Amino acid sequence: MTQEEKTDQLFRQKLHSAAVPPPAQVWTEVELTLRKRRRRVIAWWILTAALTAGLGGAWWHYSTSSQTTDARQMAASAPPTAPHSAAAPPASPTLPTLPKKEPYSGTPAPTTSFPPLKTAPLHASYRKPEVITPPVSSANVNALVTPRSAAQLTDAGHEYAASPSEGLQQAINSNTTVTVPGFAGMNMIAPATLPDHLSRPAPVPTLQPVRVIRKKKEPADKCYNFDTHPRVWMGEVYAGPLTAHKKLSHPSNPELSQYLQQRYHTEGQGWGFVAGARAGVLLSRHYLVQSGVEYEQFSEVFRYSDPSSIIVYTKQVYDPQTGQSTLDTISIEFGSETTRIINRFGRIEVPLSAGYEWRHQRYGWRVTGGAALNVFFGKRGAILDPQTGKPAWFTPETGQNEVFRSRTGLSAHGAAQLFWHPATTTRLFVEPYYRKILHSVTLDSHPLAQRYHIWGIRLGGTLIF
Amino acid sequence: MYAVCLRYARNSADAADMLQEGFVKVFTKLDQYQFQGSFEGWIRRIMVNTALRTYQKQRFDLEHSGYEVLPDLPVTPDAFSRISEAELLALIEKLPDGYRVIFNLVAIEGYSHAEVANVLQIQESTSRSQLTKARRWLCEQLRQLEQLPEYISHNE
Repeated sequence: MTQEEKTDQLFRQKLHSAAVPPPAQVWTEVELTLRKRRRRVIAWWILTAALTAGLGGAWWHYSTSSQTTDARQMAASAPPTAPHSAAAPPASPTLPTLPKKEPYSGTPAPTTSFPPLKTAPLHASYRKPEVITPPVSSANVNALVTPRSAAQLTDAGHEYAASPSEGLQQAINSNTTVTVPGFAGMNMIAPATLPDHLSRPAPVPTLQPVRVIRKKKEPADKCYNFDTHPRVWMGEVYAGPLTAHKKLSHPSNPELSQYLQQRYHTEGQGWGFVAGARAGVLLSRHYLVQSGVEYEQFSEVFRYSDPSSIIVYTKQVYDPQTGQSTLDTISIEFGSETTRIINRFGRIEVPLSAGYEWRHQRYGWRVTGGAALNVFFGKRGAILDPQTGKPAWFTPETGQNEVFRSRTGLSAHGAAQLFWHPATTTRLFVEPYYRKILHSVTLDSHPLAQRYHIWGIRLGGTLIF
Repeated sequence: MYAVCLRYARNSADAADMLQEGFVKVFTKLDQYQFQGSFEGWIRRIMVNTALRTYQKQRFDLEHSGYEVLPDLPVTPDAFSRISEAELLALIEKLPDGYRVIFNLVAIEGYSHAEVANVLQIQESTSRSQLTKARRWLCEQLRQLEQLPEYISHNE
């Protein structure tokens, strides 16, 4: 054995089995690290389960709502059931599936002939749209009872109302609400039944509380120590209001400009709410990647006044010199027949975002951006039919001709979040965001492309694992 | 195992971090222990690998000046018997990173120069020269320590 080997042996004998007690905090840190790894695994399973449930629920919801009208007609002809008790909600009818629609294939082909929206018989559960008619006082409708001749047309070229019937005469005399004949009622396309999921507001997804194993409580004035834990998992839940701005566009076709203006005139601003849950991981103290499930719902007021419905107020003037009576027009009221419908749209999205986070003590900022894939798009309501110019219902189950797509595809979004730590591992935040739906929500067969810009505010809380 | 980490670490704080990381791996990879060899030896290998991974990330320099001129004089076994483990660990801690790692792997753990060269991605000749310099420096430190009056009176 050489001298070097002897020296090495001496060092080895002295140090190989040396025992030095470690600091006590080492075992505490080992336990904490092992606990955090378990929470990370739990968070990953929760995220996977939430995404699976969201996608599965959206697929199931879409597949059950995409049924033909035949099954609904069969349900309509069934004998009425007993009134439902509060504890037993009504069961949805089982409907066969619709034939597959052609997928979206780019810009719509221009066309001047628009297929009409398909009609269907009414279902017993169909709710008539609200029809508002103003009351008419007896003082200025006496001219309505007077027969008129075809030669007595106004300068506007509108025909006067036809001679009223005796029934109308009685209604006028009794000073009740009068509906002027000439407007034969709305040429509406009614579904056999309102889809179950659109006859009531879609439920906000219920979030199950997550069991979190908490370490010893630290003073609330301490922010989470990201220096010693540069990579953390976070879970968030939120809700808040939103507004949806619609943008209609069409290929260069002068015939569509008027229709486009009528659509803007009849459909109001969209207002609604957003709710969701997401999980994310913070890398290197600042870089964030997150995903989750989000539901957005907004409503637009559709208000339509039929321009062909008019009330003409006239009075009869007697000329004593000539001994003849003439009819003098006092006023003409247009659009007295008004239809008001609440159009409702619901969307489920799966977003993927990346961002950057700054912190200062208990406050911080975060900016994120990304894309989202729409997995479900529910809708109910009415728009102007492009051919007739009258209100017409749009539903996903009327057969071959529909207005809106079943899914809206990709959307891009950005957000800025301000958060505050009430405790070490929890945050409260307010997050204004913007989303742009990249594709038109209407089908290629519809003459107008319809896109949405959505502005909203998410209010929620974050839990750091 | 803390003593093992102290031999590889630059300071006690680094040693505590290595120990923590090593035991986290022990608990998370416990199912991989196949009862071949002693359990202590398996844990020791995990600790050594953790220490090596720490310094591989930091990319330490292997060449340091001033160690090649040290005399190659042996140290008596008596000197080792008089020095405590803590003092010896403190001396090893003062070595530069590269010298310390190679000295621990070859002199104390018993790895060959070929194995060390493979692990650290260096030449075998570099491993030999580093070990020689580290050994000489430690022996010189032990001799100087032996000659200190307070050291002599403390151990008498």
